[in-house]
Amino acid sequence: MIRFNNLLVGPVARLPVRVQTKLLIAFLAIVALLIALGAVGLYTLSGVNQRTEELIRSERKIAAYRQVQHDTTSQLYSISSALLVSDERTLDSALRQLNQFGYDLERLQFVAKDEIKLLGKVREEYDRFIAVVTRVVELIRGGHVDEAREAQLKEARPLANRLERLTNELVNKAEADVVAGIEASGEAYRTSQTIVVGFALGAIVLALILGRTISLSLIGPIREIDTRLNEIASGDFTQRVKVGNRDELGALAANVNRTSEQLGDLYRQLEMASEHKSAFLASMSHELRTPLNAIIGYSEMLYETAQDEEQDEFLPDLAKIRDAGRHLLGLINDILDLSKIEAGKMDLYLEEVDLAGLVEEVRSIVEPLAAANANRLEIVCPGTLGTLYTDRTKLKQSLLNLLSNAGKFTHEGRVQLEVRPAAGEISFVVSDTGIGMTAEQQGRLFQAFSQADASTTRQYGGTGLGLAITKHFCEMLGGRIAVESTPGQGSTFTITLPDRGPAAAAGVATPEGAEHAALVMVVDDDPNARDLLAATVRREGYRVIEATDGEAALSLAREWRPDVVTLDVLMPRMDGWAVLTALKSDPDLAEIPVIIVTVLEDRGIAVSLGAAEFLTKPVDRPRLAATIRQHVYGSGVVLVVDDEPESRRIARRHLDRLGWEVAEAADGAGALSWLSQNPRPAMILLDLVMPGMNGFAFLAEIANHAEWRDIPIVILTAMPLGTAERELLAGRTREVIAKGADDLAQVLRRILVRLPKATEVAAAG
Amino acid sequence: MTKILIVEDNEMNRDMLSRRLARRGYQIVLAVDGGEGIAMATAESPDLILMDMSLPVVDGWEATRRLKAEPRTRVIPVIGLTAHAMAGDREKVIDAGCDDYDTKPVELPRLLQKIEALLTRTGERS
Repeated sequence: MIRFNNLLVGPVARLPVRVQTKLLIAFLAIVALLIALGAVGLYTLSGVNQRTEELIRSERKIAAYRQVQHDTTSQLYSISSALLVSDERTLDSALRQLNQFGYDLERLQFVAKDEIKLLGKVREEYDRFIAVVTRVVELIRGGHVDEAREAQLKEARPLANRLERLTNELVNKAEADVVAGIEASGEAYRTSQTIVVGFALGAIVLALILGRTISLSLIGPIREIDTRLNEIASGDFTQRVKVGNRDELGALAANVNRTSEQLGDLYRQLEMASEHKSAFLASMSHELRTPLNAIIGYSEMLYETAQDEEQDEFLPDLAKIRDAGRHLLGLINDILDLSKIEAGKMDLYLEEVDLAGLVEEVRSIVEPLAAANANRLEIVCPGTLGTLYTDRTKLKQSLLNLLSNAGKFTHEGRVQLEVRPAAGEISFVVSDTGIGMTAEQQGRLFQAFSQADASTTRQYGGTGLGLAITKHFCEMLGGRIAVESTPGQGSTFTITLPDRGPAAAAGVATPEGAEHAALVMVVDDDPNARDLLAATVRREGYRVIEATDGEAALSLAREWRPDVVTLDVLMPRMDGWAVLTALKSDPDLAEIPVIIVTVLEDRGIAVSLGAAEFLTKPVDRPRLAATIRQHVYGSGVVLVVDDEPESRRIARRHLDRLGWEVAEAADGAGALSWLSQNPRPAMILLDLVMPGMNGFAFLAEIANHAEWRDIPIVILTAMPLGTAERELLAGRTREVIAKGADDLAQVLRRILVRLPKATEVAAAG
Repeated sequence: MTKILIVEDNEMNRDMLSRRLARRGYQIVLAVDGGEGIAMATAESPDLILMDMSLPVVDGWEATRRLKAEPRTRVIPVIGLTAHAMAGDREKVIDAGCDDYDTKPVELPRLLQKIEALLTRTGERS
């Protein structure tokens, strides 16, 4: 039925008729079936009715025959009585009986019109019987009783017997008719039952087939189009809807295909335009800066020369050229920053920032600015500030923006920076006693190119971009900025940042891989050395736990199972050698690579105790980073199989950064030929949709080669996968990454951490 | 006399920087691209290198990596110079092997501070 149905769906879909017409035809077919069913029922009912009438007629005939028989007997009886009694009354009664007999016979003739022949005989016999009876009555009346008795015996009785036989014959015939009628009506009932039930079943089946066919020919294309739209939504414009329909749905599918094509073109144009814009901005800013460098540099040199040679009359003009140049440079830098922010290309570089140092640096830059307007700069902060995990450059730029604004709009007043640590967050409050702002001015404050008043730009300078950039920076850092101001009395800007870094604030960009990042344990008793190591590790995007002595190191290692340990040797109580020995003798911890970081030169001891790497202090940061990277992510070759050069380039960039080598193939066949000519790669990154041999075919092919079968394979695809496809892939691959949707760098890090390490690096360094 | 190698392709920048530093008593040697920079660093053994990161032929990133890979030149402190204080430039420059970093246009007092700090540090070490 299903197959039959499928055979039907195609042709129905391809009918060049509107959906409305198809539905109408299907409904009309079903209605026609119902009408036919009703007609058959009515016909059957009328048949039953007719048979019932026939039965009733037969019953009436039988009753009439029996009446005639009864009359014959009564007549004989009344004649016999007259022969005995012979009075006038009895004779009258016999004659009346005769009349009754005549009447019943008339009725019989009316009821049983079809029995003309037999009834004719009955009539003849009756007429004779009447004649005999009448003669017997006349004889009795005439006193010839003996003659009458003779006629009675010899003529009336045989006639009565003949009449009875004839009527019996009629009765038997009618009763046979009744039995046959009952049988026939039973048969007719059964037949009509079969016909009705058969018709009903047929109607249901036909309705089901029609309904299914029509709805499948409608639903199939709708599902197909829906899938396609989802693909379009996820950025894949290459697929086409394949629908055989030649109705409205066919038109819709064609429309979707056309729209998808146009969207794809538009998307490519937009991408190109966006790339052009970025490239244009980058090159423009470079082109603008080069001459600007010369203007600023030479004006500074001239200024210095004029100072040295005491030609003071040139100094103000030279300062104006220099300051205008610097202003223009600031403008260009701000525009570039803002365009990067808006393009989402502004990255965060998080590290432990020494706040006291930062505040001091800010003070040294702002102090001359404040002095220019005869302002007093005050710094209020607690004695110990500690560090904050944040982006140093962006925080500094934000504070400088606020403070230089405060200095600009305040004359002979006070500009203050206050650092206020609180529970879970830290606030930087910049307040001034300057001109302040109205509420309406405050509302427009953080929009790009909008100072409180257009005239302020002319009066006070500045690009009008500083606050917009500052606000973006604060949000990127997981914090917020607020402003309070009273016109004529001054303004207060407050930046509040989470004290555990942006990752602690929800919904904010986290450092790459923060959540799934590999965990590095830093063991050192010297807080400065430990801070430095931890900062280096953190900047590489790992999570860090710090242990201050050997015992803590062991218990933390058991609790957290770090991916790599950096271990100092000279520590009080339990030294690094003891920690290393304990780690290597614990089967659960023995596999963790340990990097010895020490001032000692005992490489031999370290290697013999099982250290993976030996670095001497002061530690070379790039070297440390590379060493950790190698141990966390391993190294080797990843084969990237993808037909899009851009996708391969992105994968290569991420893998490059993690210290992996990359080989590329544009399709399954290319990958197979690479595999046959090269040593086994550590992993294959596989696209599914490729021209030539696609990902699925490649997987099937790989499964036939014992030597390649267990190479870990990670699928990287833009194709939305159904459950069946996912199940198919699940058995053969490590992970399925959705192009664009997943953070590739993060996912790759997670996978590479878990990959068996091809080479231990003890020999290196 | 302290010898500083300036690797810079832009003629005006090279001219300004060399004249301003010379005026402050440094001996200046010049190179116009990364390749020449490496050759000069090897031949002249300067006390410090100011390296523009965007150079033709061999760029500053590559030149720094090669200098830091070579035992004879790896001890020479390098200050990387990039165009705009892009967030992240500092980290990239340090990662490339530079010992410090500054932005162009240079603010001379700040650059001088960094130069002196590095020279003092290497002086102590050797």
